Amino acid sequence: MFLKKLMLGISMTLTLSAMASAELAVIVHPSNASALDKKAVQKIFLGKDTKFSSGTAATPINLGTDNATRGSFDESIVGRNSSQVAAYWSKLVFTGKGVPPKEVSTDAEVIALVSSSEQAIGYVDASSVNDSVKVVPLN
Amino acid sequence: MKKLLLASAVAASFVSTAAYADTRINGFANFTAGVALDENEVYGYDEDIDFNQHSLFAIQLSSDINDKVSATGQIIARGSNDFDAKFEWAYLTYKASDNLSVSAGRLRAPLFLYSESLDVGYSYHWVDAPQTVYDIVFNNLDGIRFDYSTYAGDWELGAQFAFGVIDNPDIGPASDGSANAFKGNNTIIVTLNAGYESFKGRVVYGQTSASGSFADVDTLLATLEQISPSFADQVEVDDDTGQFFGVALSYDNFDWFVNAEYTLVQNDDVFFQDDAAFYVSAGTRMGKLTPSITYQHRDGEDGYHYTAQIAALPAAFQAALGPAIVGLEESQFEDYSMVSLGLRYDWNTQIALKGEIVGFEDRLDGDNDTTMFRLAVNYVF
Repeated sequence: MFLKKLMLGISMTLTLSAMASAELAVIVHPSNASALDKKAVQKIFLGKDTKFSSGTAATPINLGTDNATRGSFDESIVGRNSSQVAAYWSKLVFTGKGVPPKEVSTDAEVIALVSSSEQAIGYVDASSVNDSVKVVPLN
Repeated sequence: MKKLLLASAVAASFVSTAAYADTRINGFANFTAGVALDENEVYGYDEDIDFNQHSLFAIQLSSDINDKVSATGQIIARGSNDFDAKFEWAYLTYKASDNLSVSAGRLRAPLFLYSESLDVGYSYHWVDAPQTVYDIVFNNLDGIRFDYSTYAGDWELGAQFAFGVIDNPDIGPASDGSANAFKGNNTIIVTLNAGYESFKGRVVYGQTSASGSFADVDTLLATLEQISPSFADQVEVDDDTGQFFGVALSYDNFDWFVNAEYTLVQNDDVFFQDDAAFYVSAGTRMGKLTPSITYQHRDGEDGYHYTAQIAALPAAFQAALGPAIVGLEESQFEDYSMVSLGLRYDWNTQIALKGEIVGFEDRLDGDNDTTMFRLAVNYVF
């Protein structure tokens, strides 16, 4: 009972802080202390950077294109719409220069992956965040 | 409990794909229909609507052999070749470091800004990469390529070095139906590129030792050989040095873009003309629509090369051979430009629809001017 209340409290706090910043939250493993800003996240999701500032390999996890959060992530963080991102990756894929981020279909899957791997970085709707992952503040 | 199982299942699948030895299958397809307004032919299109000329279907297999070595094979069935499937690329890549990779096998020659994704219509805004620049007799190289890339602050820097053989046994039919062939031995290509925020620049130099066989020219060459072997040697394409220079610039802030590319092909002691070509293209992205405009020009008319040699021929042969040689030279003259208006529509992240209208102007013979329409569907998976 106590735990439930605490969880509720945490999730409310998170929801409130998320509402104040944006609807989506970029998340990493709680032990990931790397410095990350919007540009660093962009580079990782475009395959231009394959490591965190700590030197650990970075494995980006995307939501599928039918998920609305994907669209807003592509627009606000990657800086182009999802079709342009796909066109960008088609150039790299067919020249053997890169593999696009793995796609999963739900926030829960993103959180499950990120909470289980120090290499993972993903994003979810801020309301889905729980304490198994760490939210990266982006300015 | 269910949630936990889901999480561990997802995590497990994630770990196994993150590990190597997995094989990826990707593919792309372009279906392009085109028609010219009158009987004048432009890039294979005339007044009869054509569906094959620039249509293709491709499958690419990539396999990570270990964390350093991968194998890539790309098979393309081209409409222009009756959709016969052929291995376009087959190479191994060794990732020596985060910055350097080395590929060996049959791979794309890094000649142009869009060389590597030339066949992937989905990757650019045109129906086709601008033909005046991109229409050359080879695109692939059998050999080795080094790709180096790095970051210096906000700069993205890169260099490529490629060495190998260009071998295209069929660059198009001669008048007797036999295939014209082109081979480039000891081909070297060096590129440098730099990117800063929305700007990108690229320079390239290439050279090759070119040999070719052209049935229509061989008869003339055989005769000329008997009269003046040194003259024949200056006409024939046999171990003659060809050089390639290119510069490309682009600005792309995602809302709008401009790009331009200039190339120069120079040949010594062959009947080819030197070719200079460029295009400038600009467009704007408005949600799912990308309207664009492109101007392109090819100047492949650097004049008559053999006036002095013809004059030096014995008088009896001058009258017979002179016009044939002049005719051969003139057959290589080209000077034309195209203006195109294009529209790309992003249906989704796998399919783009495109349309374009192209005005073709032949500066050597205005009678060849024409207008062409094309529609295309580009698909990637």
